[in-house]
Amino acid sequence: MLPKNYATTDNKERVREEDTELIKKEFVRKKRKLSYLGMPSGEIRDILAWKDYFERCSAVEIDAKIRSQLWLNIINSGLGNKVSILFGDIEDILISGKDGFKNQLQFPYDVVFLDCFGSILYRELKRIKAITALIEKQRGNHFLLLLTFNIRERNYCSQSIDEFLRKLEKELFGYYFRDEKAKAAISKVVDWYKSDKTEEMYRYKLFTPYLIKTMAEDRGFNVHAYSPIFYLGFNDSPMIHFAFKLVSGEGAPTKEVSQQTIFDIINLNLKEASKGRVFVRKQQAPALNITNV
Amino acid sequence: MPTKKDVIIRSKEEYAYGHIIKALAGGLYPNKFHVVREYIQNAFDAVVNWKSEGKDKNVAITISIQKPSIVIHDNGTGMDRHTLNEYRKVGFSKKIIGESVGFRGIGKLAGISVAKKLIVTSSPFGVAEKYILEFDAESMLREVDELKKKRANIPLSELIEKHTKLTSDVEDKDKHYTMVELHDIKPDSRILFDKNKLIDYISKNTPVPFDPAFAHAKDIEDGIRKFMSDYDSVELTVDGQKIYKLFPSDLKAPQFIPVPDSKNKKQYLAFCWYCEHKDKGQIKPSEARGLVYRYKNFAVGDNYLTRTTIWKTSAHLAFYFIGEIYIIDSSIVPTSQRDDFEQSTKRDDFYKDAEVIANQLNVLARESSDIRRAEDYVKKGVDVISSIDADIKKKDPSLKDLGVQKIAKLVTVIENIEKRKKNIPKDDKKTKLLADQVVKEAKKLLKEVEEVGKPEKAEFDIAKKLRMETQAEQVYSTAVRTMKDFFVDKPEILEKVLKAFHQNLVKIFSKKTE
Repeated sequence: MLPKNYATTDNKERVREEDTELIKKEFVRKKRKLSYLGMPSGEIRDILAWKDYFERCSAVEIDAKIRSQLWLNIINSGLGNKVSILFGDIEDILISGKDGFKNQLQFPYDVVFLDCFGSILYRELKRIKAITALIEKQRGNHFLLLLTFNIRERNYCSQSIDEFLRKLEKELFGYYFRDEKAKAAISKVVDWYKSDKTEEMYRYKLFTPYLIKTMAEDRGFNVHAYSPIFYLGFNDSPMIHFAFKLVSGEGAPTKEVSQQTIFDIINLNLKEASKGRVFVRKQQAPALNITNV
Repeated sequence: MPTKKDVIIRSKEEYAYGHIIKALAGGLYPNKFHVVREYIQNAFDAVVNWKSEGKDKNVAITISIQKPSIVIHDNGTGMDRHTLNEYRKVGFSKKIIGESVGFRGIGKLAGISVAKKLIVTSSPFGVAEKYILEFDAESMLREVDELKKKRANIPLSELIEKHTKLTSDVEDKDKHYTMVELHDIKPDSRILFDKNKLIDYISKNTPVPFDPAFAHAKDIEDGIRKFMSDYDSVELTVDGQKIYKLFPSDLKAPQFIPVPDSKNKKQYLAFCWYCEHKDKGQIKPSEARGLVYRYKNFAVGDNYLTRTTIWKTSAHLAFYFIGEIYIIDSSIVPTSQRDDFEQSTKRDDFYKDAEVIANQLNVLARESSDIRRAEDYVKKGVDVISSIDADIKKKDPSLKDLGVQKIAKLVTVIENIEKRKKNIPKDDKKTKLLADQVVKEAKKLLKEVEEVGKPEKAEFDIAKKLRMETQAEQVYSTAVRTMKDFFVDKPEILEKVLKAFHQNLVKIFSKKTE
């Protein structure tokens, strides 16, 4: 998923610190050690940073050499009893629940961290299918979902993004079908996202939480998306990191409605990690505030 | 004699070709677990070296089943770039016979017979780098096969160069380790994923410590260390589970037999410890009995190898014991498969000298058998006495009819104990005393039973009762004596026959009287 020899950066460390706070809260709330599913790569920095909160970890790796290094670091860190490795493609593993060698994922997990190349709409929606399968298997269990994507220009199916924005616009119109002013405001915001001038990170900021919210609500979760964080990673690769709290609704397995609305999602601020701190970016996507229309 | 003119210097002539790899990958390891053992050997050597340098003694070998891989990790000395590069050299080893477990330079590539890829990562202490060697066995073997179809050959060095890669990366300079990953185990070798079988193999064949729950562990290790200064074991885990040498609990205290070299009495060839079974018969389960050779604390062959090599007679007695024979003389070298020692005069001499172990154990087994039999007779005697004594006390009427049978039982008790009393060990005063008491009591009871039963008197009573004439009485007495002689070992039959005989006599004589 990630480039080989992917190394950490100060920015990445700062993002990890933000996640650490969320994991700590989850640890305190559940009053027990947590289970983790992730793609920690050879350096296992995530596992090392959070090992005190974890009881068991499932690590997924597709590259044989990195997998070897991953296990080496696990043993050298004395974590051999806590960690099992699944070997293969993360999407395939999430969909089938096991790798090609019958190593099983041990659902449910308290923390799931998918560190992926490309967007959630990457690979002809296979990733959507995989995340849907993950949420389905987590049904009934509260968990923290962390996602990091390497932003590449239009690194998704362009038809999918156009279709997504059309669908979003239609959905929002549904709330204000007799309010032409509101509709115009919605179209203005959607058009901004459609524009070629709009930086890719903003589109990610919009569609990733929206899709997670939709998928999870359909499976009985109340979803809360935290403000995504943009940062420059290794070799100045543009990255975007998301964190979601998925709380299993009372009435699961029926559809759940999150307290955080679609408008809250659209208006989520984009943060940035840079020079050792995390802050709200000056430049933001246009807010959609119908009451002010 | 060749002249200067005849000498042909070939600058780049190759002497080994790719098919050797095919042979290495296929034929050397019929037992797949031997492959894991090869890497444990290397890890053990690294760990022993690390300890011998007087550094941190907290070292271990960790084995993990991480499908599709098996990973063997040690925190021993680690290898620098140069040493790791020697992994690529087939049959190359700087290890010295007798100092290290491995020394042929072949076992390091054993992994290619079970895995598609071999990934070795190592870092020596004090160097801020780790070195990673990837050995792509699958592509290497594929190329050899393709070339074979074309009747072509590739020099071995070129083949290895092409399909291996040595890289480096940063590492903490205080780290020291080697990790071998047998990556993507081939379908015919997936038995290696059977954790229980792997643990069983490792427990029996590698230098893991004695089970701490085994009562004699410390005594045995102390005994071994007296003879073998280089004796060592290593903490080894499989998927986090510590592995030990396991032994049954029903064993007597350990004993030791050194095997001196008959050609040089000052030298020892080997050293044996053994424990005898507390109960009678062979030790169960079958795989945990007998003696096993060990070279540098790795097993050589199984419990049948010692049976067939040093037991010339009564080989079944080997399984009355459990133990190990440690090779001290480094010129006795195991075969590459570790199923025996390499054929040599030294080995043959060793097998002959080691017969002392078998001879000693055979004598011991027989002695133990005699002792056990004597003890059994004493125990049986106690039962017989108690039973007859109870009959006498309650004046059991059967004493009248079955008196002969009881007498025979008491006589047998006395005879058996007196015959085997000498086998009871001198220091076992309790059993000796009991034996004497049983004999004394049996003799006393014998008199009482004879008194109560009085079979002879009964015979004469019948003679008188039937008013036999002198001649008839003589015939009757002769018949009874003959029957007694004939049924001496079968008193119960004698009783029945006598009873029937008396009844018939009563009928005949009654008619005559009428």
